[in-house]
Order: sequence, then structure tokens, then C-alpha cells
Amino acid sequence: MNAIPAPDRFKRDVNVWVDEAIWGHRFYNDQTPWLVFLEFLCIFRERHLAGYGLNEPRLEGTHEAIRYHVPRLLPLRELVFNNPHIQHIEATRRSDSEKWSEWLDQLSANGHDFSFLRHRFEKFSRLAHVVEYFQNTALEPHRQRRWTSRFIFPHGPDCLYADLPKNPYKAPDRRFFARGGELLYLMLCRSGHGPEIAKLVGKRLLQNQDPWNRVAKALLPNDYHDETISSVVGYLPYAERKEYKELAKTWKQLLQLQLPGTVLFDPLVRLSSLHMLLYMLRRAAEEIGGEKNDPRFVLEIAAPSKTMLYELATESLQANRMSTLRAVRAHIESAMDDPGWHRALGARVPADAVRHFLTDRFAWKTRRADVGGDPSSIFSELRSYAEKRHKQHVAKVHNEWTRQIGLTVSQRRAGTWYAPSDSLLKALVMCIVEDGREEFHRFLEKLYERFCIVIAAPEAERAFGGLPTDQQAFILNAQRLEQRLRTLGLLRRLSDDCAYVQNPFRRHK
Amino acid sequence: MSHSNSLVDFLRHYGPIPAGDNMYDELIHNEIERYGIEEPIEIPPTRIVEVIKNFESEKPKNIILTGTAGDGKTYNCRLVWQHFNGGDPQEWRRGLKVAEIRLPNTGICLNIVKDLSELTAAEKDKILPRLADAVRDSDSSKVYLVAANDGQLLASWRDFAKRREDKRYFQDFRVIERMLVDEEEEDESIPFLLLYNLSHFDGSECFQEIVRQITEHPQWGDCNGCPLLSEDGSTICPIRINRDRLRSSDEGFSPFRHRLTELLKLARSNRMHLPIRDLLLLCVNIILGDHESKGLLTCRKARNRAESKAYHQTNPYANAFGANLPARQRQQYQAFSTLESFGIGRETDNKTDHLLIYGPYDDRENYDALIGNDTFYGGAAYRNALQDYLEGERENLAKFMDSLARQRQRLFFTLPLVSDYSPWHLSVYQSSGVFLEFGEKIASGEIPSPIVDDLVRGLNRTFCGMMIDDGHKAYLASSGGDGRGRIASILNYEVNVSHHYRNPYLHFELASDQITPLMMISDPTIQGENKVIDEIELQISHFEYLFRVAKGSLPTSFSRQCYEDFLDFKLRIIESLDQMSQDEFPSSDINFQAINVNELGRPEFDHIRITIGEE
Repeated sequence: MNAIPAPDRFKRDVNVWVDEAIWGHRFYNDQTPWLVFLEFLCIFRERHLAGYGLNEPRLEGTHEAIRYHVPRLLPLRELVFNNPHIQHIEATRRSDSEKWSEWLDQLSANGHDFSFLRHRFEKFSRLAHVVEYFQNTALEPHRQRRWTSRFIFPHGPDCLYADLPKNPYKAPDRRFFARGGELLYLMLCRSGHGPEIAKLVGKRLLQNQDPWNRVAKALLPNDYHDETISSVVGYLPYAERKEYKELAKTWKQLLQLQLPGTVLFDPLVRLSSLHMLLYMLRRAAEEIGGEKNDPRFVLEIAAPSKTMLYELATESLQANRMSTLRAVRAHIESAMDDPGWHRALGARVPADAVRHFLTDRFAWKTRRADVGGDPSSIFSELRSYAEKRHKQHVAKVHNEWTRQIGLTVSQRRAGTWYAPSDSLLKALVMCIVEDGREEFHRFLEKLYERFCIVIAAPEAERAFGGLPTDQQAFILNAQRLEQRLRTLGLLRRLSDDCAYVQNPFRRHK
Repeated sequence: MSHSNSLVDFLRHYGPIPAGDNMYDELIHNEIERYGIEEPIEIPPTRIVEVIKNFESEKPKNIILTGTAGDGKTYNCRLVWQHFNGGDPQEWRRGLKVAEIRLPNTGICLNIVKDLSELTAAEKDKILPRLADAVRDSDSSKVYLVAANDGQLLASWRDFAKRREDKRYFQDFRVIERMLVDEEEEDESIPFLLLYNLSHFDGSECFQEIVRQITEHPQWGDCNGCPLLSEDGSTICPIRINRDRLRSSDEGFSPFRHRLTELLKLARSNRMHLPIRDLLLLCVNIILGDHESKGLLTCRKARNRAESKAYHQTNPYANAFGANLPARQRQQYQAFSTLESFGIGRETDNKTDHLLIYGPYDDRENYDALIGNDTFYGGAAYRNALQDYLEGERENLAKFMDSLARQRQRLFFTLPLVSDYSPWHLSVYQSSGVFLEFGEKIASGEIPSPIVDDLVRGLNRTFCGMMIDDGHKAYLASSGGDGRGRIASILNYEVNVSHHYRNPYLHFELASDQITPLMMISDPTIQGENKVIDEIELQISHFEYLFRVAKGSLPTSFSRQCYEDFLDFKLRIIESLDQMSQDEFPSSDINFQAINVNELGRPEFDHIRITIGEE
């Protein structure tokens, strides 16, 4: 299958078009899974209102052209993230009017008039309570980001706003909303299930009537006018892929659970990123070519002492991490199979012709026109530049995201390896266990089939084409998982040889 | 020649002796003959009457017997075989995998598969499709009785259904799976199948019966003439002593047996099933357990122990936990790991330990009555170690701690029903007594409000993450965000704890095991029979969790699972109630209640109203 040609404006923006050609424009390590999701919601919100939510027209062989607008909502953000004195004033000043006037004075110094809040809240303590609530429930509170890149919990459509640079009146720098959410949006659009999912997202996740959404709205003045940010959705190379469908399936499964919408964010964030990581690995394998090996995550379930599974989980992580770099290398080297390359070598001035060929093919903006000398050094100049660029950001995505979603753990001396967190396990159960319950071994099988996760011996055999270590190690690993699920209230044993994984949020019919 | 009772040798075969295969139904018969046992130990199979009646009927159904290994599946098959075949035990013992009998009433051919796991893949492939056809009544010339472990059964059925790529077989698999998990015996979509799970019995009742049959066995009379047994019935033989401890005393009550029964009830509520084979093993090990030989007593060993007064080797209260066996071996038996999980011996309270250590000096009366008077396993066994400890000897501290643990175990099993000391304080689940009482009271329809009060208080503290001291209403509060924050300060709903005619309320019922309480939220306005919005089973661990939280502490060992379970429960109820109240028109103002707690533990509410609209 051929990739959709990338719109020129994206190619113009980058120094070399390699990572983007392989995976899309773009994956970026500073954008955590939560921020990918949030960026997605920002796009979705506007497109859904316009009637195009996850249902974007696309002409055969061309890329969607989607323009969207995201509000800045600065007053709300000032109140929650740039309002350090409110609790102090609440705690130290005696009368209500004293509190209001001192606080309003302080904020007006920053050029804002929040006096309308006095009418809305009457008591200052109530405002303080509400602000504290938004602070306490803010996303990723442990991250020390600039206040313009901090986000309140997405209770509803009026809680969504753009990521902004330090000076919030300037154009966005795309550091935390780095287009990962756009890729997620495109994947769901192209999954074939866009409209159904759009309906569910609108109903379950973005409720106007959610009380906290209304509170967030009430923190803006009546006549508030927003200078929205306008963007065009980035580039995703392939029109159809299995990963898009799998992603959509996960969304449908989660969005149908019997749970308050707000509780669905956590599993959606984790599993969306897991699907996107699988997409990255599969794309990498395609670029590398050769033997068709599906990616695999060998998971060690935490044990009191070091196990063989730890070794395998470490190796499996190393292999996956390396695969994106190998893909970049392979992608560049594929140019040598191009007739254009051979023509260039045969040209009158091969160095010029080769440089021309490569800058054209990879949208390479080499700063030095006189780079290299002979064709092979020009080629390696390009390759090392692309590899360096890859290592700076895209290569780090795997590590960063797997850690964020609870797929890896790191320990001093032991390094980093695949081992699931409780929250990830719960998300997987919520997604995979459809009928309210699933037999334990079948559950392990499904984990492998849906997410390439290897925990027990039968799946290891399938993934490796034979057991990579002795069977007992895998049996114990599966037993530890069973025990762990049991303590999480997610598993019930029927008898000595039969256990069921239970989804606490889906009652069987 | 020394005196010996062949009953003892026979009973050993039910116990944890190395060649562990000797209590299989297939083999126990040889032993019965060998030792000349007149009354074999037989637990009347719970379903056999129904099984036989079925095969005698005009239109017999197929029967699958499932259950944990050791629950008597093979035994049941043999009884059916004997019933219809006039009972030639020799032929049965030939070990046919599939036995065939022509049913006398109907002439239908009954196929008995006494253990599905014995069959090879090829054999299964032959039998299962036929069974599948038979349960749909596609072939009425044959009928099946199959014994299988449930996991085995499901895996084999799914595999063959997959291989045959026949949707019907796969549908049947789903139905059988559902029947197993939901504990149903019949389903209308496969009308010619009865699914009996032999693990569904009350282990505590079964254990009582096993103890009765073993301790009251007539062949104990063969001990007469043994020098260890006096004519007045008093004895110094550890086997007879241990047997007496389990037997009913004159008033028909043995605290030892009573506590064991209660432990088994609690285990059942915690879904830890002990098969009959394990219950037999437990009973035999209590009577015959011997620490010195790391196994079981024989009459000769018993005599040696009595002569050297080595009763600490034969302590039945420690035997109940398999303490006579090496750890590795002990862990193989569910009976011991299950009872071990109650932590008896390790857990204690100050009051009991004070009695055990200082009792001989400052509470002589209680000490003598509860500990000192037991010359075999009580005070005497422990006196020296205690003396040394009190005199400051610390070299053998581990040994002392060990004997202290034994004494706690002994106390747990010997404290009378009414006592100043609570046996349950010597276990992980201190609320066990209340738990069992609560279940009984629910069954009799008189729910004690102090217990409810404690449970709801624990629930409120869990739901809100604050030390609320209120058990009259349940407060469903959210933490905001993804709902998993520890502190939930926004009140979504208040739910009454007594029955209400209009509003949802919280109440209690019993789960199907007739032991475990169910905490339910019901809405009286729901149309139809079932008014339950949601429910959660309060297994002993959950019950204990709420109880301890209500009393102000949080046990770490099991708090994690319970906390998650209650949090999920809360989220589900909020979602259900939200959906029911969604129709209301939202007003232009925003109203919500913040919940907080004052110094007295009373919840306080702050109504927050945000006025939107004209300024």
C-alpha cells in the first residue's frame, strides 16, 4: 500500500522529511499521552460542532485538509494556574468584602477585571473552593510546566483550550500540543467507525451539562471574546490500517462501559497511546523489511526476586526501542534502490546530482551547499543528520509513553523493562473483558492478539515461534498476574483449574 | 506383641502421607478390604439421588459433574455404575475410561466418562461432539454422564467447537460457560443437559459429618485392651486424646470442632473451597499429626510419645494448620493454606498475650481455667519456656515465640462460647464473629442496627476519604477528575440506610452461599420485581475492611483490593443514579454541595451556588 502524498506546507516546515514520512507529522516525546488525548479533544470538539466529528471528507489519494480552532480561555487559566494568592487571602483576611477587594486589586494589576465573579459567587470562600477544586484535579500536576501549558480536567467542552507559549498572546510553539492528538484524530477518522465513535464521545465525554463544565464556563465574563488559535491538522501517511480499526474497537469498548464519563479518560489515554505505539512499531518493521515479525511486549509481572522474565522484558524493550532507529536507517537507505540514485551517480557531476536527488526526495534542507564531496559522504551526512534528529525526539517517544501509560518500570541499577502498572492492568481488563468476564487463559490470549502483550507460555510460543526460556518461568509469571488481578478485585477463581477475569464495569447479560 | 488398632492404619491413608494418591476413590477400596474396615467413611453424595433418578426416568438427560479435584466426581460415577450394573466392583476397577451400560428402563445406552482429563485428545474429539449432539437431543439413543474439572471441560469444549467451526457448538460452549460461572444447573437452550457442580456444598456441614464418622467409628472399640487406655476411659494415648478433643463432649459441644466449622464457613465466604478430600485430610491430620516424624502417628509412635510425654509433637491445634509437616509439603494442601490464611497463632491482642505470659502470676483463676488445666497441650507444655522467658532468658526466644504461637492457636480452638476473651482477636479477621452473626441475623430477618451502623460508617469514610462518624446515611461523593482521588469532597447523593418508599436506599441481604452479606442499593420506583441498582458482596475481607475503617484503622494487607472494590461500587452507583435523574431541567444557576467533616466527625455541607445570568 502506498502512502498518501504529504502536503507541501508540512515538508516546508521541517529540515528533513524522514520521521514524518514513516510515522506522520508528528510524534513528539514532550507530548505525553494525556496531552495527545487533550489535543485530540480540542480538535474533536470543534469539528463535532461543525458536523464533521471523525467524519472528514477525503478525496481518494489525497490527504484531508482540516482546519480547526482552539480557544485560549485565558481568564479561566489565569484564575486556576496564575493566581497564587487566592488561598492566602482566603485564609488570612477576615471579612468577605476585604477578601474580595484585596484579591480583585491584585488581579486587576495584571490587567484583568474579575469583579463579575463577586456577583456570581457571593462568598469569596466559594470561589476559593472552586479554584482549589480545579487546581486539585488538574492534569499531570506533578509536571513542572509553564502555567500556559497546564490543563484543567476535561469535564466538558468548555474546559478545553490551547497549549500556549510563555507569552500567551503569541502564536503556539507546538511543544506540548505537538500534533500527536491530530494523528489520533486522523486514525479514528480513517478507522471506518468514526461517526459511531464521535457520537459516543459527544455523549459520554463532552457533556455541556456537566456541572463542572458549567462552573468552568461561569469563570468567564459574559461578554468574553476569545482570540482562537487556528491550525491545520498534520499528516498521517496511510489511508487504511489495521491499527486504526483496533484503536477504534478499543474506543468503542471503553465508551460503552457503565461508568461516569470522567472515569473513562484514564483507560482511554493509556490504551490509545498503546495502540499508537503499536502503530509505530509495525510501521518501523515495515520499513526495515525482511522477516515479518509482529511487535511484542514481554511483560514481567513484579516478583519478589529477579526472574527470567525480567531479562526477556528488558530485551524486548531494547529491541522495540532500537527498531525505530533501524527504520529511519532503512528508510533512507531505500533511496539507493531508486533509479534516480543510479542516474545521479552516472551524472556529469555526481556530487551535485546526488545532493539534488537527496534534498528533493527527503525535503532535506542542508545548510551547507558544499556538504560532503563524493556521493557516499553526502549520503552519510544525510543519514547521520536524520538519525540525530530522530534520536532527539521521536526515538524517545517509546520510552516516554510506555512509562507514562504504566507499561514499563525503571529502577536504579536494574534499568527499564516492561512491567505493567495496576492502572494499565485495569484499563486492559475494562477494554478486553467484554461479556463481564473472560476465562483467564483466554484473557491472556486476547492480550496478545489485541496488544501483542506476552505474559504466559502459549503466547510466548506464538510470539517467538518457540519458548525463549523454560516454561516454568512463564507459568509463574501468569500465576503472579492472576494473584495481582485477584487483589485488584478483577479475578475470581471458580475451581482449582478455572479462573475468570471480571470487568467490574460491564455486567454480563 | 504390642497393641495396635487397624482403624488407625486405615485412616492414615486419608492423611497427608507422601504417596498422596491413596485417597483416590479408585484406590481406597483395596485399603478397606486390607484393614477389614466394616464401616467405610462415606459422605453421602449430595446429588446422587437426582442423578440416579434422572437415568431411571423415561427421557433421561445428560449429566456433567464438575467440581474441584477431590469432591467425589469419580465416586459419584462409580455409584451410578454400581446402581445400574448390579455392582461388579472388579470390572469398574479395570479402569475403563468410558464405561457403557444399558439402562434397564429405557434400553438407552449410558456412557460414563469418569474423568474427562484421562482421555487423549483423539478420544475427546470423538466423545465431545456426541455429547454436544446428545445435549441438544439430536441423538437420543445415547446418554452421557461425564465427570470433568470445569476448566478442563471449558477448554476441551471450546477447542473442539473451534476446530469444527460449527457455530452451534460454540454457542453451547458459551451457555455452559455461563452456567458454570452463574452456578446454574439447567438452561433452556440446551434442554438435555444437567450441570451439577459438586463443589457447591457447605464445607462446614460436610466437615461436621466427616468428624462424626471418623471419631464415632465403631472400630475405635478395638483400642480396648491397649495399655494406654484405662478402664475408666481415661487415656494417655495422643491419638485418643486428639480424637476426644474433636468429639462432642457430654453436652454435645466441642469448641474445637465449632471453631473449625466457623473457619470453614468464613473460607467459603471468601470463595476458598475445600474439597471433600481435603476435609478428610484435615480431620485425619488433626488426630494423627505428628511433628517428630513429620507425618502421622501409628499406634506404636503414639505409645512412644506417651511414654516420653512428648505431647508437644502431637498437638492437634497445631496439626489443624499442618504444623507437623515440612513447609513444602504443607503448602501442597489447600486445607492447610486456607486455614493458614486466617493468621491464627501470629495474630493476637494485648489482653490475650497478657494472660498467656503473666496470667500464672496475676490472673491465676482465668489462667488455670483456660490454659493451666490442659495437662497435655496447655500450661504444662509451655511452662518451662515461659519460665525461662520471664527470668530473662533470651537465647531461645524464637522457640518461646513458637510455643506462644501454639498456645494462641490452642486458645483460639478452646475458648468457650461465652468468654471475656475473643477467639477472633487471635485471627486476621477480628470481625469474624460479628460477620457470622450478621449473616445469621439477615437470614432470620432481624438486622442489627449497630452492625449496620459500623458498616455504613466504614463505607462513608471510604467513599469520602474523611473520618466521617455517621452510619445513618451513605454519602456518595466524588473527588472530581477521574474519580480515583482519595478525598472526595463534592457530594453527589445521599442514600438512606432504612427502607424508603420514594428514594433509593441501602440495605442488606444474603448471597447464595447463605453466609455472605450483600450490600445493595435499591430504588423503590423501578418498575418490576428487581429494584436493585447495584450490589457488592461483603466477603469477610470486605466486611473486616469496613469494620476496621469504622474503628479508625486501615489494615494494609487486604485494604488495597477492598478499597478498589468499594470505589468501583461507588462510581457505578453514581453513574446509575445520574442516569436516572438526567431528565430534570438544569436550572440556570449551578448548585452543588461540598462535604466536609467537623471535629466531632459529623459531616458538614456547604451549599455552593453560582449565579449565572444578569449581573
